Amino acid sequence: MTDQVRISRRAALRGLGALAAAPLAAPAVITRSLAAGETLVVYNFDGLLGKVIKDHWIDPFAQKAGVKVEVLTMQGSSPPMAKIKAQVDAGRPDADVIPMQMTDYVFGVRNNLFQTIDAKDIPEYANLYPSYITPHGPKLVLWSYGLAYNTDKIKTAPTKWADLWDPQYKGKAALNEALFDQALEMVNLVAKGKPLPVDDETFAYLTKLRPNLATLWTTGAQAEQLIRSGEVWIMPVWNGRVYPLKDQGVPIDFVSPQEGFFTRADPFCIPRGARNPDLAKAFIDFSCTVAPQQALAEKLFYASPNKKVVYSPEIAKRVVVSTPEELARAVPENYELIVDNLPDWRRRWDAWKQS
Amino acid sequence: MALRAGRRLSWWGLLVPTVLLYALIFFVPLGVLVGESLRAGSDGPLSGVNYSAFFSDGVTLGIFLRTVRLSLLITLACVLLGYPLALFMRRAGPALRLVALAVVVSPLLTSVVVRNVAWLLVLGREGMVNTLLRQAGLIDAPLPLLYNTFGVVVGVTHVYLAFLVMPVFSSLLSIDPSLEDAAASLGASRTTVFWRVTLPLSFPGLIAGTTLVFVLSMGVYLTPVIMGGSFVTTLPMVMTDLVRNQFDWPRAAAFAIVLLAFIALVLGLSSRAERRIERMRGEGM
Repeated sequence: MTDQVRISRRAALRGLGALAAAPLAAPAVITRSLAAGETLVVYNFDGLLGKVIKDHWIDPFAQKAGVKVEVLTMQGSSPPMAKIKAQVDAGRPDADVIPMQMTDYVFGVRNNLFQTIDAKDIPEYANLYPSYITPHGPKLVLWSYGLAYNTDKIKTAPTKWADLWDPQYKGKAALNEALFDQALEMVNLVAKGKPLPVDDETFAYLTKLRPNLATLWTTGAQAEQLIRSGEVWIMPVWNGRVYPLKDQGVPIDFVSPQEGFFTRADPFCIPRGARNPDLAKAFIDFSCTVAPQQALAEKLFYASPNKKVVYSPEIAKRVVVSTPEELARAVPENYELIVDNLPDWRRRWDAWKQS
Repeated sequence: MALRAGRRLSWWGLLVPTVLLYALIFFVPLGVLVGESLRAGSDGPLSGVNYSAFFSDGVTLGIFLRTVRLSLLITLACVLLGYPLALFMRRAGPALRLVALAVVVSPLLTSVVVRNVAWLLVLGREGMVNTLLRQAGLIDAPLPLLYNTFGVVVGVTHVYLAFLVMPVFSSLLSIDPSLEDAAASLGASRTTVFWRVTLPLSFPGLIAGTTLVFVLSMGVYLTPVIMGGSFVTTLPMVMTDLVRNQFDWPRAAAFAIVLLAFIALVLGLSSRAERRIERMRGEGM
């Protein structure tokens, strides 16, 4: 009996002590998180895009804020969602900022992986097109999907997606397997003039394209190799893969097809339980500003959702979506619906590949 | 008695580090995988729906059978190329043997991407083989050497050849040459000696090698993606897509378990065949 009393009294004392110490400790915690020496951890793309973002977003931010930024490189532009979900569920995500692809974003929201970001924490939101602000972060890096073609082999430039079906390109075309959902929407644009629904007609029309398809590819690097080696003459690909090659002297050009093009962007999100949410918000705010956005447009031709970014005429052509009017021309995509239908589409796609 | 028991116990003790390691890095994750595979969707209720999907979704079983077919083709290619090579290595002098071994093993020391991209340059439509054949006037249109099953078989055989050559070679080396001499002195022709003496005596190595190549080929992923142009779909590609794009980890786990069970079955059959051969040899002698 006495033992119990003694223990509980000791526990109570310990509790009181902790309470008393808390106000003393709190300022120390706050100053530590804002002081130099705190490390922000961000996921970054690999390849050229990763390098431009490192040079023009991450490094200038680190210098300006006086903090260290640790970069975790993703494979391509795919964040490792399985790992991220496990870490968030365990309360310890390894990064503070993660760029998401739209389908990853939908999955993340459904699984409550992200913090909501209050607009007042991101002053630069005032300059962004509202449709590019999600509750969990801004959609940045606007890449546009159109047709790339080999200018040596194809003298008359293609103008529309339907040109992919042209019999003269027998065995000379390719599609992106990793974005097969977009390929299906593209087939629909040609077959029925609208991206959805995906049905038997879609696959029947895809089968008509089969003789032209030399291969499917899964990464931008593979697409680049196919074009460079002359293996493939024409294929749907995003603008940022094409123009740097053109500047290197590869005979290649990009067209945004008449039926409409696709524009996708990556929300930059903060996982729940991130260690440095304030620093993460500061980094996201900085990334939205004109200087980093302009740099990405000029180096890699990815458009910006920031209204203040001014493009030179040549850059404006290359970024495809340089004005709100151009942005409105992009084919609207319903990502919730895409994620819901992905398993079914994938099964049909795999069955189609085997037929 | 007690002493012997103690000694036996200490022998078992030698296993402890491996068992601990395997428990940690293999059996625990495997248990988690099995648990996961029995859920209908992440956090869903217990159910066998993922296993029945493997057989009934209309696509996966077909892809699995195609993966088996691809693995058989690769194994066959490895045998056709590897067995004669191992025979040659048995006869060759030490220097030649070393050269042959180095050539066979070298692909294992290169990155899979580098190796595959190099093959693209060789087998592509504008690649070395097609250019040479066209210049020699042997073909008019380029041969389809890439982005099909043939391309994948070439790419995978290139690496896995080593896994066939090594066991076959070591089992050929352990054949006592006097057995073949004896057969020859009794009037057997060289082909008869090979078919009746050398080949049967090398079966243990051949079984080990083909099993290894087949099992490894069942898990091949990157080469079909790069050299098969994704038109050659293997089960690991389906699983990767489930994890990566559909976020359906339970289903991917179930498919992985089915693949694992199939591989365990193959390994079981193979070791049974090996045991039977050993028994037959024991009776014969």
